Amino acid sequence: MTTNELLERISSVDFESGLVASTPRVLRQMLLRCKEVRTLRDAYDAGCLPDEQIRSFVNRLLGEGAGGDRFPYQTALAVIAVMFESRFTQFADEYLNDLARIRSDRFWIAARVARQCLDSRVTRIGTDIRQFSHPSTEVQMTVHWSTPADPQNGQYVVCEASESPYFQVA
Amino acid sequence: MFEVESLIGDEDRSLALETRRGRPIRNIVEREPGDRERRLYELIRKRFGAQWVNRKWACGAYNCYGMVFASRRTTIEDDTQIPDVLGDDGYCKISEDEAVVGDLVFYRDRGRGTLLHVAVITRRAELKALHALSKWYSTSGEDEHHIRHHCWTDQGLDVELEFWTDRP
Repeated sequence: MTTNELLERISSVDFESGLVASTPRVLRQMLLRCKEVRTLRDAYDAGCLPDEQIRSFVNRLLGEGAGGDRFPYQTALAVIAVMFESRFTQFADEYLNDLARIRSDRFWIAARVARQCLDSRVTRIGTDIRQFSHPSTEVQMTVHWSTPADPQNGQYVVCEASESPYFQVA
Repeated sequence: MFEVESLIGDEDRSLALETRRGRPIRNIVEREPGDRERRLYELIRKRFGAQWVNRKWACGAYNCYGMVFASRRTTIEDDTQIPDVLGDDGYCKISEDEAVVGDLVFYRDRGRGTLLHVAVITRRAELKALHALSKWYSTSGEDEHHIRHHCWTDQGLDVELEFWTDRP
């Protein structure tokens, strides 16, 4: 399935009919175990699903759903939010924060899912264990950071790290 | 993204809703479903509801928790508040054999412990099989169904049923 076909799939009623969720929290948990979300995330990681493709897909949905009383593609927006929950790119940040910021009740489910994804990100990036190379040895340490890592340039903004003579704060 | 959407549209519409002991319950009055949401509900009924009996066609306003705890007026949006509601409103857990019409059946994802849904027991049919009334989500309709004929059978979820009553 191509990325375009995958995006079409997540905006279909057939896809949504397998995700009967009484609350946004339940929807997020169902999406976390959903294979379409994993496949999209893999495609994103592999560079097969560029930010611009997601942006134009979302803009198309926003246009198609503009007339209705209730925004009809909230599940698709929630899928992308859950896909981005564990991805710390600039676009993922922008997407999650902007979706979470919507107060209109037309989007309440997608916005709530995005807020939960952001809450989860705070926990997720709070503590992580990474291997850092050093010319003479490899040091494993627990690193706490508050600013998301940017995988595109490999930089981590570190706020606090376990003490190590080899570690330098970026 | 979402520049326009964050500027236009009504704020969340909620009602003053509290537990019997006065704790606020977060809620939002869901908008009415459009054509696409109605098609979705039809598809869900085709997929899971061969033996469901429809009471009410797709509508907005409330979800399952709103049907049970807010008289169909609003959608209770946070299922993590439900244990507080049960405690404050005087509910206690019972066995399936003890459940009668008007008691509640909760559906829980055993793996994560998350509450998925609540339904109201409507009858005990032949062979003691319990039936219940469900509003599956905030824009679905209401269906009466055997308590084990639900929407999560083929989604890989290990669903556990719990029974609660407000009877002393």
